Amino acid sequence: MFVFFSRYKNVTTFVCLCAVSLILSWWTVTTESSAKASNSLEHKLSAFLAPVHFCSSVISVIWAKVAYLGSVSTSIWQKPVEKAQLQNLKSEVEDLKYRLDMEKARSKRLEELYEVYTNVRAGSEPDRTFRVVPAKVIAVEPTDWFRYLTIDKGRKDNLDVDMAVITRSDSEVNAGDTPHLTGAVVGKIVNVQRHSAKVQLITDRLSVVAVTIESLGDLMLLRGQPETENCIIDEIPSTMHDRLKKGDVVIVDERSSIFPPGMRVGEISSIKEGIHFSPIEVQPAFRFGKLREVMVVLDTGY
Amino acid sequence: MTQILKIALLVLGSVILQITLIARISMFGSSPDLPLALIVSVALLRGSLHGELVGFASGSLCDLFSGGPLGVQSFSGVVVGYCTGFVRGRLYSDNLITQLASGFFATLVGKIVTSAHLSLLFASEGGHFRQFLRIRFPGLILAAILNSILVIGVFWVLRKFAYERR
Repeated sequence: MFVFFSRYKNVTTFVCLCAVSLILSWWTVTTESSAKASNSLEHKLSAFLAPVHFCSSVISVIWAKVAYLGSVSTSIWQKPVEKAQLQNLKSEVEDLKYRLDMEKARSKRLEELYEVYTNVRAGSEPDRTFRVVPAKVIAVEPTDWFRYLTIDKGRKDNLDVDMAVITRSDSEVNAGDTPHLTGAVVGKIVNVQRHSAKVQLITDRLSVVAVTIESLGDLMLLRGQPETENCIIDEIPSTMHDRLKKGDVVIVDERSSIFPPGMRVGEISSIKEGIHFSPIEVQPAFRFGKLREVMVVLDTGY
Repeated sequence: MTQILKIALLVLGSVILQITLIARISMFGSSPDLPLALIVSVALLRGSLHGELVGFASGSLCDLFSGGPLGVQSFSGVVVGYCTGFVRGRLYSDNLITQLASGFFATLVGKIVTSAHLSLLFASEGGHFRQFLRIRFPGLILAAILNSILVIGVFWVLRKFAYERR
């Protein structure tokens, strides 16, 4: 037996590792208890994951420093000393201007987030509480099959599973006649550790959001489509086709139990012709590549 | 032991870079894959056994940080590492063409295996594989080209810092 395994160790290792992976994937997907078990597995590994998340937030800071040092060092080696000193000063001033612009842009993003917060809070009834907590995106999905983020807030900040995550809207506001809340729905929390949380975006293939289109008013289900970075509503009867147009705003339906009702989800980007149903594509109101800061809704007051 | 530690640090580092910087680059729905480039490079340098072990380790880490089910990336990592290991001993691994071709075809194989695996797991979605071919294919070719270039860099790093020339 030992001779057999040592002679065919490549194949036996391959078969064993494939079997372990397949069993793990089937076990994670099929049973409800295994989903909880996989969450508890991540919880047990949170002591290992937390330093990794810390590393990922440090890397983004280091990357900015490296780019700055690179620009300074290249200017040092190109000119004679006196001219180089003058050039260094010019480079430093330009870098300081660039950093100032970055800080201004960041300040603007935070101001807009705060505006979203006050707007949403003003939209709720006076006797209801509406609480949010800001968070920074520290890691994104490593593969292109799903759409998840990791944020730097967790259980210690009173976060819990199925809390909504919102951000500022990137698309132009098409107010129409019906007022709707500014800001955009990003997704919901699906996994919480002590210092971090995993957010499932609305563009993920397993995401479902209860929405409505302003011109129709009917309840619909919005599903994610990670291949196109869009979402899709595929249960609209073809008879309603002529009442829809590109650019119509899609908002959260009031019957949604997770997301703030009336919050912007996106706009219709295309309407596909169908015999019985006309699936429509919805472009989300946020851009995945630009997500840096988000807000977690602790309590919508609904 | 030192070599195992170096490879472990490289696996961890590649996953961290993937989740912080590289995964944000998305072209036609696909992005470069640094852990995959590492698996291919290790398999070209040390053969199938090392390749599938590194594939399982980096795939498992990616599964842990991914929102998808556990075992998906680790399975494709094992398959890619095992298959790429066959190149060692049959072709000259230091040749740039070998590295480029290995990275290109390893990306295609990895994505096809993952797509088929997800189609089996989420059978209720139906048409996942057809959608993959229709929508993802242009981005897949672009990602395969980028990954094959990444393999050259990762191969050089491994040769220099982890695996001495035999």
